[in-house]
Amino acid sequence: MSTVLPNGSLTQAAERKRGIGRALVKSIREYPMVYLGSFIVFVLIVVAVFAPWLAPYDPTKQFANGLTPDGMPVAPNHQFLLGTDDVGRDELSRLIYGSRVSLEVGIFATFISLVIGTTLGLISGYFGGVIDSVIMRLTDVVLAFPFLLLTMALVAVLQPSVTNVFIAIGVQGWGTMARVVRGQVLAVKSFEYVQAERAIGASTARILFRVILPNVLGPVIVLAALSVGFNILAEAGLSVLGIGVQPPTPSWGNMVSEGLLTYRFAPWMMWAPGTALLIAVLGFNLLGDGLRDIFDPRTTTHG
Amino acid sequence: MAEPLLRVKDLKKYFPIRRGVLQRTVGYVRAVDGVSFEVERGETLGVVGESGCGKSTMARSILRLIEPTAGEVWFEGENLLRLSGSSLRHMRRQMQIVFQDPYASLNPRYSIGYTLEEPMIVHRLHTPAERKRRVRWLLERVGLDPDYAKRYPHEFSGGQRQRIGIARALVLQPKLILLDEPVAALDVSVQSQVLNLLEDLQDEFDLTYIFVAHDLSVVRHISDRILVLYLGRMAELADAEVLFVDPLHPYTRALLSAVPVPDPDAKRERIILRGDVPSPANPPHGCPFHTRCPVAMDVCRSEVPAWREVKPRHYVACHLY
Repeated sequence: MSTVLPNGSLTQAAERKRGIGRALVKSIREYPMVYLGSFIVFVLIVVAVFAPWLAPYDPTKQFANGLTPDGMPVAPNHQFLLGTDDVGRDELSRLIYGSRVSLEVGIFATFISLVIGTTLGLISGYFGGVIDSVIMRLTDVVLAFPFLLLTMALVAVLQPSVTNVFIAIGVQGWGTMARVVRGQVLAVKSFEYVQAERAIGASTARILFRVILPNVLGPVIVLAALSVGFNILAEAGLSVLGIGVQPPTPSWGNMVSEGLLTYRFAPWMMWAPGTALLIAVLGFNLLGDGLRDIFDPRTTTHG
Repeated sequence: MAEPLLRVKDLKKYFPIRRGVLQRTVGYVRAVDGVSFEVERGETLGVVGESGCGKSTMARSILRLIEPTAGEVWFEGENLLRLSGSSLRHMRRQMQIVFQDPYASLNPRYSIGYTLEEPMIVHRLHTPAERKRRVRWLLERVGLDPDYAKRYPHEFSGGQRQRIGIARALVLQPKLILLDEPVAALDVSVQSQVLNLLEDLQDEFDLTYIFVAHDLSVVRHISDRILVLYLGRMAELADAEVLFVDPLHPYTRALLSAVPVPDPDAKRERIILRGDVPSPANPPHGCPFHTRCPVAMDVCRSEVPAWREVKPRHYVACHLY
């Protein structure tokens, strides 16, 4: 049935009732990129979770035969599949363990932005008026601030560590989320069923979290997926600059950073983490873009 | 006479018009401009007027779904506009609303059962099993299959949805229900079914209705008294039959002359109003109706007519009387 839908996300609600399975199969057929994206993300998660079993060696162990006689990294061979780094550690093991840091930062930083952004967006959109203006100007400030500059300042103050890196990234990423959520809330709150909730005596908290929040989640999930990719890249960028995750903890960023120094002699040291970053970010972006296509009724070909 | 169930006094709702970078308030839309009336227990007060005359705004202001600018709303000895937070939410049990659009007024993510159960959950009434039983009973009372509780709004037609909306208004056993154009979005055949249902329910549960509509024949069918609004102000208030037989205000006459009569040979005067309703942001001086009134006098352009009881129980705001 295609009645007049006051809300785009209704199509999903309707579809969900007809069976998640069939809708999923349908969306995979229509959006193969989502499938590819989810596959990459899935592999990434498996690698990160099972790193101790998948990695051939301890990522911090320096092998005696990990350096050539004249002290250079060893090129990829049957013992070290991706070669070794400049202090004789297995590059593949470091790459596998490095996925943990990347995912951790990507996901936790996104989670922080998500919580801050969604909460402020909900409040801003629902209450409006002065509260709305204040929150939106605050958002403008955060969005206008040069990302790298603020992150560097924050990390410098907080001391570089994995936790502080994702805090520094997370507290900046909420601007876009807050705006998107606010826009959605403005649309949803005008529906009569929200007024109906007030009429039956529901509290503001109940209306915000039980009625409005589920209706704004779609775009937020899309944004979150895209933001994970961005945050992985942000961590890498910081680590390349030496203010991110500190060695010997392997992260793709500091591996690229180490590789920079020996690029002429040992290009694999940059190629390996660089390619891993590329694929990971691509995976999250494909997933995010695909989800947006699915959630956005204007770009759907059906419904 | 006993204390009326609801007493509305000088209710006003002005929407600010903001312009420019600084969002300065440059004027107000006077959607509801000084409305006062009383509703007796068990009666149905019809409220009519053209689109944009403030009917819906008035209804929602009474319930404080829209915050009124000024005025008093007394319900069983309490001024609703003075209540805040939890005491207001508690009072909402006594007065409910049925919305015009049965498509927008039900949450698409809630099953019908949950939609009907939620008011009881919010007010912590009954045990879960009792709530479920009451939902089924209510569905049956509004003429639906109790098993519909498991279904979702998109599976229903407009008329069925409106029955669900009515059931939701009944869940908390309110004394007063505001019906905001409850049948305007429905087919004519379904309209009469829903109207009959509303009348049955009124008898069964001793309900008091405020029935907002723009369709006079619908209002005549169900109302005891009728209030005519024009541009956010009261034009006329009288018993339904009196109003239809002996309308006093020229605006009411024009409205009534537009009601179709099921007799092709009936001869009658059709009063056509010229022009549109003036903007409530810039209402005319004097009587708000003088710009379109066929019998306007000089005094109408300068003085606002007083609200007077010109015959017993028949109030009008017009310089003719």
